Amino acid sequence: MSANEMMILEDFEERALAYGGDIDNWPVEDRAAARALLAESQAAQTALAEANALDDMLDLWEGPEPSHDLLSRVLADAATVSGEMQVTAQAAAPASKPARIGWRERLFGGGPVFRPGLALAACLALGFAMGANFEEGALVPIADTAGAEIGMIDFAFAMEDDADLLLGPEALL
Amino acid sequence: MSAATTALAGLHGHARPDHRRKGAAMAEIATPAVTAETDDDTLIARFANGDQSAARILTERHIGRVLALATRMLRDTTEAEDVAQETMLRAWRNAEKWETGKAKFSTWLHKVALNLCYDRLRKRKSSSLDEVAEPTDDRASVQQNMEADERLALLKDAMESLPERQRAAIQMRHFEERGNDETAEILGVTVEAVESLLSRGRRALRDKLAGQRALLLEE
Repeated sequence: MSANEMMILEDFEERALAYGGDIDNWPVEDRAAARALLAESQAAQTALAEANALDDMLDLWEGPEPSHDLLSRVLADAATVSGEMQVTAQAAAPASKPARIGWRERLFGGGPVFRPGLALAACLALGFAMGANFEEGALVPIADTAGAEIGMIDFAFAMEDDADLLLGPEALL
Repeated sequence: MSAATTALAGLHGHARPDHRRKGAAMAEIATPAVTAETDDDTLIARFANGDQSAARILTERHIGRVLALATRMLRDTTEAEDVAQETMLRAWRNAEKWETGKAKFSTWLHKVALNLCYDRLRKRKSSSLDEVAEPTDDRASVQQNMEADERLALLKDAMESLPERQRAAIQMRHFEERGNDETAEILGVTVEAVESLLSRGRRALRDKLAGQRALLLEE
């Protein structure tokens, strides 16, 4: 309804009754025509005053302020629900697969690959040294054999110590 | 973890499992903290991701109106608080399923609250039917009413005497200043029906309060 179309008093009264005394709260399409009628009609002004009076009466009933206890209960509920959602999400997530153990780990355990190699090389060197000393020992008199054996043992311990320092005690195990 | 993330974690006040913590912390760094200006859809999504500060802002924003609606519908503070709590609980429970843009959060919330009020009013009716021999409701009589403010008691009595949907329509249009479309959606009726409910409700109120007008509007 436009301002040019005059609203009839009956419609005006009906709108005032339904939407109250503030024409800004009426349906947009009725506002201009309602204001036009209001400017001319004493009856329309009376209807609007009645509607305003009812609005004022309704406004006596103010909404209560939410208590601290209510706010606490609502936020406690939120925390509980949030916790439940996380538990549900955790249960729904696929279980993590156990890490696969490769052949190197099975054979040599964890750690760098060069460790077992170094340990093997140390063992070979010790074997060569012992073999060489044994052959030399066969040519020397029996009295010198004991000294050569002590030397070989010293060498072996020295190799072991070096390996220990370099790789840690587990390298020779 | 950055200082900002630590502060956020403290603000949320809720420990999350480690397997989600890393991802959540990244999300916190990537998205700004929620504020009083953050829209409802964002807040409900943030709550669904474990952000407790979003719940606090949503509560502060909506609980007053929900409580006012329940109080005017039920006229019982304890019951109204229970309805407000239950309404917000339903919001938390539906947070993960909330679809942004599908509905207005505030409209949905009031629809839930109103339905909870209707449920309680129905229970009251059925229990009052079971107790036919009981004397009439003492709240119906202003003289027997314990309200401190007699004028307010008059108004409350008049409102309470209205059919539920008329009362709800007045609540939405007058007290909450909602438009016809939103009121219709909350009430589950057409826009034309809203106007009819308002007219009938306000006419009934006007007639009931006609003799009390001078008392009601005295300064």
